[in-house]
Amino acid sequence: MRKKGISETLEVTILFLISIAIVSVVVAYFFTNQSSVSYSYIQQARVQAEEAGQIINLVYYQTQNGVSYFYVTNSGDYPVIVIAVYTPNGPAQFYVADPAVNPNYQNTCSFSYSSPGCDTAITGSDVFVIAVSTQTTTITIRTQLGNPIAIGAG
Amino acid sequence: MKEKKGQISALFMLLFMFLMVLLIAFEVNILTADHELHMQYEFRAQVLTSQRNTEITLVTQNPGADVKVQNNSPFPVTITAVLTVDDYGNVKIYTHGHGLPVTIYPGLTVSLGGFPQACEIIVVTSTGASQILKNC
Repeated sequence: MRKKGISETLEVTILFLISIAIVSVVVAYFFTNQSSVSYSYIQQARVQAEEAGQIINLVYYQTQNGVSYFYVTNSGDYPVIVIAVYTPNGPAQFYVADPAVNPNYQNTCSFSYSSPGCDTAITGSDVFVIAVSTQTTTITIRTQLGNPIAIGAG
Repeated sequence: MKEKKGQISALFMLLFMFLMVLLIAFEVNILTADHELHMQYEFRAQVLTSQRNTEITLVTQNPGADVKVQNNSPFPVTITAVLTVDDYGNVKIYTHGHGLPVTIYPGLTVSLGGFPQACEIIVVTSTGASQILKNC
């Protein structure tokens, strides 16, 4: 009696194709859903870590000729680049200066709504000045990471 | 036939190992980011706690001659900058010279040297804590 069936070569080929198909589905799922979730979590964790590392402290405050000067230091791990300053009345023109580098900053730095000014990054142990072109005791700065930091002298 | 089945098993094993390596790589990435985040939160908490507990007092009352300060905090404090404000509101920032930065151990007194006559004197520490030693 002759038995009907498939040959060994065909069996191996079918099994091989089935296994490739299953692995393809798994890998495709892994690279689309899982990887995007993982990467978004990693990205979020890194941004949060950088935000936590940006610590701005107010050292001294004064107003002169309608300009508010906030003397600040960064005691965090990450540099702070100010890209906008908001007062309770809305956005304000500002500049950031390092008096140790620019002692004559009051005459040389110019105000802008978006440019950091004379010295871009608040970092290291120096005391920086954030000058705001209006009289206010409270500002909120927005950093390059989109991190809002409130600075109040009141 | 047994030899072919062995080859198929080896193929499955290789694919399984490939997937495991991918999985471990992703896990390592996630754990690294998670660790960095926790380290930063811990660092931030330490800095803010240190700021709250920093207490520096002025010992010498004549700032024109010699400014002596004492650390009354329960931990060493490093002074990185001194700000002086004169009667006209002019601010001068000293970050180098005058022995700065200087670390003061708990209970000890350190001389920061002579500063121009100032109405206000503010010291800044490495953790960002600032203290007004003398008010106008």
